Amino acid sequence: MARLWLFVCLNLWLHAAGAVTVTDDRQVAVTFTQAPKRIVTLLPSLAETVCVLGACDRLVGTDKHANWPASVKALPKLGGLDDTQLEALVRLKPDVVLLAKSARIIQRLEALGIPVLALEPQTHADVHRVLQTVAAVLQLPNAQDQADAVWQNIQRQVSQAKLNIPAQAINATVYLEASTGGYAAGEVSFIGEIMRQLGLKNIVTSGMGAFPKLNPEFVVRANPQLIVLAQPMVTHLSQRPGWSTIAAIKNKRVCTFSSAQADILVRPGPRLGEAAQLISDCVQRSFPA
Amino acid sequence: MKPFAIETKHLHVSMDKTPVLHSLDLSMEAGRWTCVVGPNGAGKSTLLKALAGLIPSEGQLLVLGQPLFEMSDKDRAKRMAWLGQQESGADDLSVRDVLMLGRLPHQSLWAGASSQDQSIVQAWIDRLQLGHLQDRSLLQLSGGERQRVLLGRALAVQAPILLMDEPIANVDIPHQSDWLQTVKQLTQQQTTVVSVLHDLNLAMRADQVVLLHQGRLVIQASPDDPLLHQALIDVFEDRMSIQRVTDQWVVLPM
Amino acid sequence: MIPSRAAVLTWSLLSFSLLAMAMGLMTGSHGWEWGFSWQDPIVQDIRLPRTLGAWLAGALLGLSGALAQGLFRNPLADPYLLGSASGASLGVAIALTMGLWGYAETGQFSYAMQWWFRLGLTGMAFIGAWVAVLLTLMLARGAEQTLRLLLAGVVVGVVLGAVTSLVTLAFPQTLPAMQSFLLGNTTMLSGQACVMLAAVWLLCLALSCLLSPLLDGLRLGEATAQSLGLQVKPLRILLLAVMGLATASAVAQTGLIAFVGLVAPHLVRSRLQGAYASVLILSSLMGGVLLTTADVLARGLWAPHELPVGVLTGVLGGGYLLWRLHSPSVKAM
Repeated sequence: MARLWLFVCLNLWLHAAGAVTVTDDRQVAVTFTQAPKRIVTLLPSLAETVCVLGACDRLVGTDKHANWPASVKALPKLGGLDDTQLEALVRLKPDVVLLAKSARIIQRLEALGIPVLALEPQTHADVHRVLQTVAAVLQLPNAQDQADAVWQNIQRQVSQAKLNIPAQAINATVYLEASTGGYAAGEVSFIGEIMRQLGLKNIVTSGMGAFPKLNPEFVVRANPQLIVLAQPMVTHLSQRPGWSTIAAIKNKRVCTFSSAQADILVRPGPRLGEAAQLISDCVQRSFPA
Repeated sequence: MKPFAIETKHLHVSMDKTPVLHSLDLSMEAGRWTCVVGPNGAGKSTLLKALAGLIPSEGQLLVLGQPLFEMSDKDRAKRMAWLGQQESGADDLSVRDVLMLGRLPHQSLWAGASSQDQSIVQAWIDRLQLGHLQDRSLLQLSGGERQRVLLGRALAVQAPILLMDEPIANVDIPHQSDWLQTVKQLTQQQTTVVSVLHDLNLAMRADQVVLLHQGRLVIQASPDDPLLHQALIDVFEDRMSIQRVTDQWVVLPM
Repeated sequence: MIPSRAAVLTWSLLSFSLLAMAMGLMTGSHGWEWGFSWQDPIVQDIRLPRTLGAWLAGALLGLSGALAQGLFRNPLADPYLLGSASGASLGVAIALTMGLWGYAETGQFSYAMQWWFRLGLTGMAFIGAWVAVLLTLMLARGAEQTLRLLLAGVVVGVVLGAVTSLVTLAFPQTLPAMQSFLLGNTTMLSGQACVMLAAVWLLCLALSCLLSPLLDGLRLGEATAQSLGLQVKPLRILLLAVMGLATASAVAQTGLIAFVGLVAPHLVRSRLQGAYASVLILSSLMGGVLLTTADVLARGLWAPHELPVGVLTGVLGGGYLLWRLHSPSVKAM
């Protein structure tokens, strides 16, 4: 809390001087004398953040996975998460590049003198913080208020989603599968947090990590009432040895999503309200009155 | 005149489209020891492989009166045992196991080694004085001992024809003498022996000598034949002389 | 008839197999628990097929490795020699991609995609492995020369591996599943899979033992083997086919498991001499023991997390080879 105040004060003071300094996720302070007008993002959730704050027109290039909103699809694509096309990026003459702090291209970009801001939201709190940081960098009028408004909206969506959960589904045990290799999503993962806010209990507890690879026997023993597949690639769950006895499978309470929907679920970004709604809708369908 | 164990007429052999042996007419008598000699590259090993049916050839090739190509692989293996120049690998096999491999032509796929196979192998182990080595692996033997073991493998086949390519290259004189005696005993039991030897002194102990040069037959004759002596001297470019020393032909370098 | 050393080894391997399988039945998501009940559906549906399947897959890999080492007369030969590993990986990558593609638009599987999924990852892995082996045989123009076969196998392995990389690059969502396959696991083994593995194992074992005189003869060289009446070329192709079948079946069910096929024959041959038929059978049993043990450790060491069993076999197998390098017989060379 204190840090937030300090940050705000620093910002106001610099704003008075016409410049904005923010600290990115590498704990590096980056100063912007002017609002950036040409923005490149190399992480889909960052493109979404920029757009949700109303600055979509400032985007000049994204990574190849960014696909929301639809206008983003028309932007030049600069490669995946680890193989950025440096030349194409430089030719776009960006004022700032927003990317994940684990991106390997950071050093190259800084060596070329391109301003870099590393932001990697992984929890709900991170999403709020990233909204504030990006709003400040964009030097939007009443940046903080705008960021907070977006955040309030998201919270509203989540609350609404929670209200829509039928009574019989509250505290239902859930098993979340998040990737094609059979990795489960635990309580401490992003989507696990959404589950928790909706009042569902994850069978993978916080001690077991965010994306553990579990012995399928564990799932059978835990006997979850609901299974959510955040990855659109999983086939016939009932064919997995022993799984036909699981309550969720017997009662046909398995949530599956299309590829576009899965993107919303697994990206820790500003669409987390929509993610909550998607899950809530599915829970409503699975637990009819 | 004994019947011919092996007969060839116009035998041609090519390897990778290059002709190696040209139009050979040979006849090896049954129950006799024939030795094939010649300078390096004359095609001696190739001839032996062709006679054993291991490489294709053109022309007529009769083994024990039957064309080779009409025989099944098993029949051929039972009639002709072949011992190559460098038998490789098998380092983790015991001496006994190596000799047992010689019984393969007589075993069907289903059954394994019979007690008869066991006794034949044992007999050869004794005869070749390999008893004290029989459970050791080949890796642990000296060059000469290994060669005796491999010879034993060929002998264990008990085939009427035995083809051997440089069987005693690394063997010491006492065991060379043993080998000569074994060959003599084999021929007395009507086994036909055909060998390739680079040591001309030993070769001149054979019943017949076949001289090859650049893939062609120069002469096939008895070691006493002066035409053979002259042919040898010609082929080896006058760099040797052949003398008679106490009942044997001795070949000396000049 | 069987020499006593082989008999001792057989009995000990069978005992170890039973021991390892018993441990497998007692290891689950809570780690080791003493005792189990046959009535428990978890034991019946999950632990039993996995444990049995692990043993059978290991047995197939051990047999295949022994065949490879006998056919190529090379102590470093392993079942994946002829590119079957890369072929299986490519098959799995394609299957995963097809599934992704089909699902992307509608969230439902189209009819064509359903066919793919009926075939399943297992089927595609199996087909992929076979395609690779056939490509190798074609490239080497038959099974005549072992050196050419080995080189062709390397080429096919590298090329198919590169194609697999391209596919996963284009569809990065398949990466986690690919990794799961590449590291090997017994998670998906069902009772049906075990029946199939058992049938293939018995068939391959019978055929290899029948054809094992070729392997005995080959130990003295190809020319000698031929002179002993063995029809080297057709028998070799048959044995390669058996090897391909064994490897493909194992890989299709459990993914790529390293070292079992290499180490099992080594361990057996260090203790045993004699006819290759016994080497084949014992390598198979040894492979079963090795993989079952590794699987028990993979499940039990960090329960309820699962380690990929291929990682464990890699560590154990690599460790064993390292120890062999330091053994006196090698030092003497």
